[in-house]
Amino acid sequence: MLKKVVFVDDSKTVLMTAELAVKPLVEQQVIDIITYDDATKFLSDVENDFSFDLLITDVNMPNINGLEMAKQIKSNPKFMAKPILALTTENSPELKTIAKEIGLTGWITKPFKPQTLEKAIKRVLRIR
Amino acid sequence: MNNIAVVYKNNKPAFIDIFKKENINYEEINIEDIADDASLFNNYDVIFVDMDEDIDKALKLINKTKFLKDNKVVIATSANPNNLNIQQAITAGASDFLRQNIDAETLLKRLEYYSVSANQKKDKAAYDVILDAQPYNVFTDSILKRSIRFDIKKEENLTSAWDYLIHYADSKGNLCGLRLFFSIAEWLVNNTDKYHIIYEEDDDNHYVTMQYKPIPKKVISSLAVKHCKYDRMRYDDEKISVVLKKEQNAQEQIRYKKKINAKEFMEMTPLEIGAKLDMLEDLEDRLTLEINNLYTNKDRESLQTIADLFKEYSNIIFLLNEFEKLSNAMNIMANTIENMEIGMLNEDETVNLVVSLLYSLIDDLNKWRIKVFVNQEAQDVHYLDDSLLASCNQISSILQRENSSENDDEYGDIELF
Repeated sequence: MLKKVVFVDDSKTVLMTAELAVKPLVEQQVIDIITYDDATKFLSDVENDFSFDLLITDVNMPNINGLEMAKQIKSNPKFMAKPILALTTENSPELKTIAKEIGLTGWITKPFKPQTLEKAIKRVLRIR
Repeated sequence: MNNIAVVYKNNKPAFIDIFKKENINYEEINIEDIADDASLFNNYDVIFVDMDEDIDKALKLINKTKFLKDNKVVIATSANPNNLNIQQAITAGASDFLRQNIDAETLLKRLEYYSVSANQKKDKAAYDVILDAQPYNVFTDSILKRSIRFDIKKEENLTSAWDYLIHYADSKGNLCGLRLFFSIAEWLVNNTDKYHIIYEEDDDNHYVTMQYKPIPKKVISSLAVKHCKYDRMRYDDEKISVVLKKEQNAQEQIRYKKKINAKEFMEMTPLEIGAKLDMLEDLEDRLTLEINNLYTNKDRESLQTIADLFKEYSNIIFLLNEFEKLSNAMNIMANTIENMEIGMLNEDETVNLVVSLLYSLIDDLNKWRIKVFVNQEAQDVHYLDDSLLASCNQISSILQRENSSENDDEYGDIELF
């Protein structure tokens, strides 16, 4: 069954490079990709029964911080166990500690190698 | 007020009347008298150049002032500005563009800003000359970098220096040094005419040095003893240095603390930036057109036009101050496009990829400009900086078809918790 992977990033360029990176997985029909360049739109969809298998989100966004968004999602029992990865240029231990406390599964720093993103998705979703 | 020159040919710019009314000293210079020699401007700090009567000569002069000592604040002026002459003036090196029929209140505000800007340029120029000299601090024989110097004449200047310093107040070990620094700095404000605070750093430490006219050693040592016995402070007759240990990832923490939202940013930006923002909007439109043309004109000339537009965009963003990273990102894009193999455009799939990537980049820039400057709704004006720089590096690798393994060190990794 196709796993639904959601990317949230205010930058369309990042979303596009991410899509390019995971293209092999999409072509192999292992995952399906949905992208959001507006975190508030994603939050409103989530409230309206939208679901996903893995969320990969930016941290610094203009309207809402990615970690704050993850916190809101994790507070919903339906998504408590869903894996969330941060995909960001931030690399401070302080932020990573906050991310761990919120319950994020991992942290990927930008710029990323296409293989890194592919590997991360496979590991988190246990895809062989 | 700094030394002001107003350069024009025959028609006096209207704002001269405001200068007269407000008793602001200035000198009028005929553009014909300068010929090609901009060195006449050496005696002035703020120079207004009229663009209306001889635009070529005006642009040439503006361009030449860039190479003068102390790097002047040059303001292009026009009674009937249009996008083209504004853009030409800014590209030539003007710091700002001024409508000649400006109202008195706005002009005075702008003059205040130009004056501060001119003084900063002077300080920086004086400071650059001594960069190769010995370190100021009394701890080390060499330094990695000298980051900034503040001239302290009154308490307000101290506030800026203090604001800069507290970004390093990230460890308990530094607190004693900071307290000591501030006490002595305040004492110096009240007891000397002028002194300097200089920041330097090497791999392990920041060094903050207060340099003043000789003060009896007894006074300084008693000040030091009064506040604490601190082994990270040393002094002599003319300076006191405090060493602050660098924390790991201090830079990231500093950046995180310095977040500023769009409204605050616009309130703190006294320079009229409307003209520059109009130019950015215009460039976004032209870039969109040229990128679209790539479908039909798959040649070197089209790529060069796009690269030049990105360079122009980069130059204007650089002039906005504070956004050097975005400017750098645009430069990376310009160079990438300039160096792209033309053969790549023979493959339809690649053309689609290039066009889509460039469109997404323009879309990001457009949203950033609107969220930060127009709607002023961004919670952090720098939200796009690192992200776009990373994206441009990534696009660069894709378009230059680099083997990613060659550049593994530049890429981040995954950390699963």
